[in-house]
Amino acid sequence: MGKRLTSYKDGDKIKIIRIDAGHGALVNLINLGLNIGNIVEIGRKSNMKGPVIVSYQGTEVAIGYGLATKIIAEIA
Amino acid sequence: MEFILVGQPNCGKSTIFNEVAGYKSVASNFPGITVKYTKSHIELENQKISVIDIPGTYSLQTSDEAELAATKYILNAPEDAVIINILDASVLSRSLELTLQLMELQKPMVVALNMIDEADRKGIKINSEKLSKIIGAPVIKTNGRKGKGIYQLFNQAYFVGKEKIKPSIIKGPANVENFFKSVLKIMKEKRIPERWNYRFMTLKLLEKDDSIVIFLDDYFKKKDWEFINKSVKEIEKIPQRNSEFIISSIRHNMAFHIFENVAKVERSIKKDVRDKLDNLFMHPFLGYVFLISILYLTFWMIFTIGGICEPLFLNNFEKLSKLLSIKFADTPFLLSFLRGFVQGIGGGIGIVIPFLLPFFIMLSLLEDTGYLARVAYLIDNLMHKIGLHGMSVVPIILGYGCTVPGILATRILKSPRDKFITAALTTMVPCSARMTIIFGLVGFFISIKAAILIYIINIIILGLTGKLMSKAMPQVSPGLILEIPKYHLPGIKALFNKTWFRLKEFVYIAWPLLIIGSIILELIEHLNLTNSINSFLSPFTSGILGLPAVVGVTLIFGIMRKELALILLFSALKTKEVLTVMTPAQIYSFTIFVTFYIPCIATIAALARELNWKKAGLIAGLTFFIAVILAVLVRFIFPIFT
Repeated sequence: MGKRLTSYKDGDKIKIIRIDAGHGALVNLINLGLNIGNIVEIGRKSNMKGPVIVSYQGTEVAIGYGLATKIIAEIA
Repeated sequence: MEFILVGQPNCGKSTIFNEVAGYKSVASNFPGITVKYTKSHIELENQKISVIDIPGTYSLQTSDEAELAATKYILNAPEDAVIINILDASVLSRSLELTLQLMELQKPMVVALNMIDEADRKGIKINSEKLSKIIGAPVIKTNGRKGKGIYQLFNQAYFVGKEKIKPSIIKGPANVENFFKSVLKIMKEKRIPERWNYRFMTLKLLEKDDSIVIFLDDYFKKKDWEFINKSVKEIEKIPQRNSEFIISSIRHNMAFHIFENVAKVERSIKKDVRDKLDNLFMHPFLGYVFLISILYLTFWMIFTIGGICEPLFLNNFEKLSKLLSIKFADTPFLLSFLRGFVQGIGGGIGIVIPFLLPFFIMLSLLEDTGYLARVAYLIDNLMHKIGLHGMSVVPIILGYGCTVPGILATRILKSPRDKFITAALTTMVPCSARMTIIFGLVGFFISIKAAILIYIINIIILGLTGKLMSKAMPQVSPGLILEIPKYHLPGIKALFNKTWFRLKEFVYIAWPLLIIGSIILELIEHLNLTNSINSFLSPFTSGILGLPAVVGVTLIFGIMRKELALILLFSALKTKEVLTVMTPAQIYSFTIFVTFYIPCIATIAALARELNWKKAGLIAGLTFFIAVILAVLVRFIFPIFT
């Protein structure tokens, strides 16, 4: 159930269902609106394992590739 | 009375601060750059009021060093403090999450709906009266960049502070409220001092905030903790998540609910030109083309301006120095002292105005427009290959201007390991002083291509060193989480404030050391210690590096002032025609050595300040080691190719 954030394409609207990151990263993600249950849009994904840009209510956040693989989401 | 400006990063908080306070703070598009708070005073109703600008923080529940400093300041604010909460109205829902947390503190507060023009553009219409009723505090629409609404904002802040008007309390779900009630009862029974209000402390218990737990531990008995832990477990049962995340979810929903209540989105967000800009600037291929072009253009401009201005300043100081020699010919000791002093001042002016000033202006421009965050995005991938992430690029770029502000900028990095590695790499980046050696020596006596090659070698060595260091200190980097701000036209005021702020770091930290260094140099010469130093160092300089023994003293002095190495080399060799006494291989290996070896004393001081003396020593040792290896390699490889 659910796939890694990195496996979605530009423009996909997805719902975050799990974040397997450490406490610090988790708090930072949540503070930027990337909490579990929130629906976000994949903004821009570089093709070479670069950061993924996720937009949420008009805020764009770049998430490093490694961290993005720890965010599990499903199509909303 | 004291006003504290609180807001999330990029909300325009520092711009408002600058508007009222003048030249003291920095507006920033890059989260966490204003790490220390800045204080200023204003006059309202014939009263002197302190205004404090603290680092932007997304929430009061944080793990970030800069944000933690902000949270601490708010929590320990004096009795008569008024919170001025500045929101980016164009991302209202997210901004309200911090507002909700601030309301829980039950201190007088006002809310600024800043960047209201941006919200208008996005078609977001906000009913500020309605929002004010919900929050229980005045809400004022402001546009910091144009100075609109700011007078009214501060007036209202004064009013709520005088009348001690507290914001409303917004209740949460029933199970959480029941928890509050029962803990409140315990607190009242135990007469716990109201350092913060009881409700706030209870909330922090749910958020598992360490400082509150420690504070309450003096009063709570084992039985009380058992009760609290049981209740927390009860709350965590239903959504099966840790209570701290339940609280942030609740707050998130509340904020969204308030947003829907007070704001209308009149048209769907239209993509404007700025979104299209990112299709170019963040394009997987074109993005890098632009990045390289923009950086190239930036450096080209700086070098051109610097190259024109530098001789103008240096010539005048040379004249002054000669004048001194005539005036104080009778008192040689005093003369040496004065000459060193003048050279130190002159060297500072010779670097600051020609190179640092344009460099910092350009950098602030890149930062305030929002481009620097894009650079971090573009470069993140590359930095991961050396075990760091995109944010590390900022100190490194700054390092091309002056290493000292570069080192100080490592503050924006969260993990101590990332900070250490980035600081070590920044130290090895050729600063503008080393640039004068590279171009003045290699560029002039060998070729410009050979000089540029040093920069390329430098980047390769930076990469290898980073790679090795991160291998030696294995640790999963927390990874990049960076808000990509909207593009903004930078405000002139903020731009100059920021430039001045960075320049100040050079003026206060690096310059005094530069002057002291110059004085020591002159005195050493005066006391005729040069020859003994040279012969003491000759096993190293001649034996290992294969350089003429006379350069020994220039290397020692180079630690005091890197840019002096060139001038000193001329005087040590007793000629400006370096090729008559040194081979091109020797020139090249000397330059490589000077580029990499021990950082200047100002940098060492900055390293000790940001990290500690032990780490500063480690970095100095490491760079020395790398410099020796490279210089020896050049000594033997260079002749093969020429």
